[in-house]
Amino acid sequence: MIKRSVITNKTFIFTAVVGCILIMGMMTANALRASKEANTATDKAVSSVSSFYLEAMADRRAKTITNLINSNFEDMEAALHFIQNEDIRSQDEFRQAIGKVKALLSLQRFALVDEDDIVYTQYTTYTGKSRHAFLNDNATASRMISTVSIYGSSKQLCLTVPTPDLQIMGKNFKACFVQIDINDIVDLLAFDDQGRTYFGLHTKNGVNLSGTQLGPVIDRGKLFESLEKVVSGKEINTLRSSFLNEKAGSITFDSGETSETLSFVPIEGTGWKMEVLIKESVINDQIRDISESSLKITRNQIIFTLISVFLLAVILLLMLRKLSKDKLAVIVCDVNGLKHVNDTKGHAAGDQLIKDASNLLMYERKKQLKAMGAKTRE
Amino acid sequence: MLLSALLMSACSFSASSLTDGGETLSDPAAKATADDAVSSSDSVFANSNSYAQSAVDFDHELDSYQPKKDHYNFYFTYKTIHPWWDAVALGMEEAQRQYLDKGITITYEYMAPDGASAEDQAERLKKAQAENYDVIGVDVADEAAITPLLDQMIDDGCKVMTFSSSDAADGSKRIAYVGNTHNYQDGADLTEALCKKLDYKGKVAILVGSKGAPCHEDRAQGAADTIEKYGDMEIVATEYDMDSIDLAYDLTMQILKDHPDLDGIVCCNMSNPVGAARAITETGSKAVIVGMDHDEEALRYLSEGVIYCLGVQDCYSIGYDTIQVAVKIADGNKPGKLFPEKTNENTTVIYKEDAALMLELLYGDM
Repeated sequence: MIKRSVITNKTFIFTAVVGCILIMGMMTANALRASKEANTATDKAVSSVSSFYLEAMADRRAKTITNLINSNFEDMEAALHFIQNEDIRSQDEFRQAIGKVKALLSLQRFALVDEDDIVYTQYTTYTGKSRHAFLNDNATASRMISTVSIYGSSKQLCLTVPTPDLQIMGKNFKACFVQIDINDIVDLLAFDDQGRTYFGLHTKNGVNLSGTQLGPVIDRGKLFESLEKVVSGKEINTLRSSFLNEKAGSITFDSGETSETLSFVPIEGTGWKMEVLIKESVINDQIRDISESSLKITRNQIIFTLISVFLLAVILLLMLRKLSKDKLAVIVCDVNGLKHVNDTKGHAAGDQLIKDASNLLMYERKKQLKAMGAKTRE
Repeated sequence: MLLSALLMSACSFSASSLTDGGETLSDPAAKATADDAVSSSDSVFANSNSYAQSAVDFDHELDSYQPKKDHYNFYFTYKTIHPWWDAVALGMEEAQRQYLDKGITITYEYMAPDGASAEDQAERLKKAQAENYDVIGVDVADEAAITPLLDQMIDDGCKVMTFSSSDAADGSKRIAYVGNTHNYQDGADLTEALCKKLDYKGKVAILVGSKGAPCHEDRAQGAADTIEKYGDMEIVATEYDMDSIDLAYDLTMQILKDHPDLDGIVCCNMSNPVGAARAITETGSKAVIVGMDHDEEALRYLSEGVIYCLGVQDCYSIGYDTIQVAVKIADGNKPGKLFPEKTNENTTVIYKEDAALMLELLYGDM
């Protein structure tokens, strides 16, 4: 028995249209949400990439200074070895030997100190107890790194190596040292970054060693005092603590023009901090460019899909309209013996068998429909 | 240039120029008033600026003199190992570097004992005379003991000059002097500032440095003569610390014990103000300290208000000019057109508000 279930054209068209609108609405909402989430993710990425990028930059520069220090210590050992093997009998010969080794190893101010705290350089011999803090403190038992700045001279890094076995002209020597101008270290670190990032060196109490200005906020004075204008007292205290305890970290502040992030890392053994500053908008812009390019592609795909859905709906509607005029049914069935006819009497005969079978089915179907009272077209 | 600019802003006035416009600027309150009045009084501003310009000069260039040799070897000796003379050494090294750039090598020894001693200085000078130095320079530890020796060295054909803050006695045969030529005035100016602060009445002690050291004695004399001008002021003690901070502290403690109502202390060298300030801090005395020079600890006491004012000498220029004059003397030149018999260097009096900049400038405040 055949169950009668009639879906009217109107219902069908209504369902198709509403369905299409719903699909299009969902896809649009989804596209908008994806765009918003992408923006939020971009901002988060900017922040984390900034920190990562800055810390990596600061760390790389810090390592450059550490390598410079280690290289100088090695050179000093080599210089001592050279001087030890020289047969020095006079002050003149001593000065010549110091000059020779300085030139050979490209050492900056290189000096030796005897047990009476008399300092010998290439050109000068002087009593140095009050001038060199490490002599005053009698701290010449091990390698030492200190920062020197007296009476308006440029700030210098002082590296000291003890010389317990060194004897020259009958005098025992206790140490040798080199002094490296911090301006030279800054030059070493300088690189072309198109003025978008800034780096500097500060002591652990915030004194500017490199004399560099870090953006519009951090001037050549003390770091903490410069930042007091743009960050809270609590943040300043945290920063001071990080500096004093030789910890790495970062601080973000608004310079009035843009958001800036200062990242800092300690430089081993020096008590110094290497800082790198970047305007966050620089990274932000770069990442936003990439993100927006990706979003554009997604947007285009969504628009293409929406158009496709729309066209599909139109085609569907046209087909429904056609169907409302031309009723159509498809019967799928097997015709017994068709292969045998094809094989024995040829495909033309097979084709005729299919046609006859179709006509038979049509005839039987019409008979059934007539019996049910339906009108049919010939 | 930057350092000069910093110092210009740090300095209040030149001690040697105190008497006219400087007197107005010597008192911090008065100075603030004067600075505030800049817009209405150009002359006040001009005076203030000129005092600042006479401060420490880090910006030196060798003059046009062409040295006759390409290598000079000098010997310098000074009173005692102390940061004051380290600052002089830095000026010397700058001149040395500039000569080297011109292809002229300057080598020298720059030596001092742990404590000031005329005997030790005489020994050093005799040893130096035996060597073949082009010029021997000395910061005289005791003019009575050293001047005859210097004259003898000149008679023996040795080229001798004096430098830093202590010249030989008047009439000495030494060839030239580079340094402070106004020690008496420095002492008088500092004391004048103290007297004004105390409203020209009260008990004052004078701490001198080494006995016989001309610069210290002259400043003490300038201080004594200034106090004598005011009837309500009295000198209750004059003591010598022999350039020792510890001794300056002990002496101040004793003076405060003897005179608990002490109103002021005049310090004539670099160690006096440090020792005196330590004692004043410890005892809680209200005595006002005025003193000399730029010891780091003294500058910190200045910034805290324990020391009222300090007279800072231009050590850097002293060192620089000493080398330039020494080269000319080594070439056989005499004072005249090429260099004066006495090359004067400035002293600048600084107050509490100048201390932070001066600390940063001289010590990097690290």
